[in-house]
Amino acid sequence: MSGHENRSAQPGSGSDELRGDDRDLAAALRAALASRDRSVRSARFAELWSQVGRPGGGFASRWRPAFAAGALLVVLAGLTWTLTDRTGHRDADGSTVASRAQPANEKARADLALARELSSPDYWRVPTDELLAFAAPPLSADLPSARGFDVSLEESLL
Amino acid sequence: MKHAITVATLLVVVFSATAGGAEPPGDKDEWIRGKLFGPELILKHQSKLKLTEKQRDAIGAELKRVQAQAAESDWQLLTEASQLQELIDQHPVDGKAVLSGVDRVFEAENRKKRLYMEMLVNIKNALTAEQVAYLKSVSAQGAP
Repeated sequence: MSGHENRSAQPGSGSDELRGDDRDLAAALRAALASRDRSVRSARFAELWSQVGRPGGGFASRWRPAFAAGALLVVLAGLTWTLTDRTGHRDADGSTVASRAQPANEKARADLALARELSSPDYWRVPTDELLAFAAPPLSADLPSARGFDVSLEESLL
Repeated sequence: MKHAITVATLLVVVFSATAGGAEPPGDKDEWIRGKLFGPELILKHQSKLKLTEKQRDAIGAELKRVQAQAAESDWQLLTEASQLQELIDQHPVDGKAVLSGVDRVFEAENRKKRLYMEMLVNIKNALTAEQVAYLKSVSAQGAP
């Protein structure tokens, strides 16, 4: 303020006085800025920003594999849960492919066994099927034994 | 000479009877072979016949119906046959009672045989003309 007062007081003193005032002002400004910089730390953001591009550095880069592994685990767990839950749900309803196929196979097997049974002649045999097919009774006559059966040549020819 | 003729006649008669007896029992079924088809034959060839789900269900239902009715027929048949057996076992045999019992046995047997024919007819009617033609060809080849 003293400079201004000097200028207003002595308007014809010259440009040297003005330059001296400007230098004072500049010095005062620098001092104020330096004082501010000392009291307020330099921008942390700039440091952080510079670390982002650094290889192997930074929070995100350090934890990237862990994040990937975690995400993979979450996906796998989700898939497992979905499949397990779906199977269980359908089992409870009795409508899964496997549970539907099993009774169908059993039914097919049962039908085939029944078809085989009903196709058998024995199944349709009735008592009088053999009515007219009496077998001749076995021969009960006593035959002479071969040892004591002596027949002369003359007898055999007769 | 007279003796020789008698012996020759007897030989001819015996030979004829033997030849008749040697006929395989399967030949008795010739009248039905290739015209009606047993359920086992159909189910064995079901993939080539391309049976539909509806046809399979119809045949399966028919088999179950026949099985149930055949069991009933068997029970009646067993009852009639055992009564007839008791009558025959007596001496002297009551002819009228035996013949009446025989009639009842025949009736029960006829019901069972009728059921068999009914099954074969119903199964054939469940098939298409193409399927019947295939089964005829298979039967002609002597497939069981």
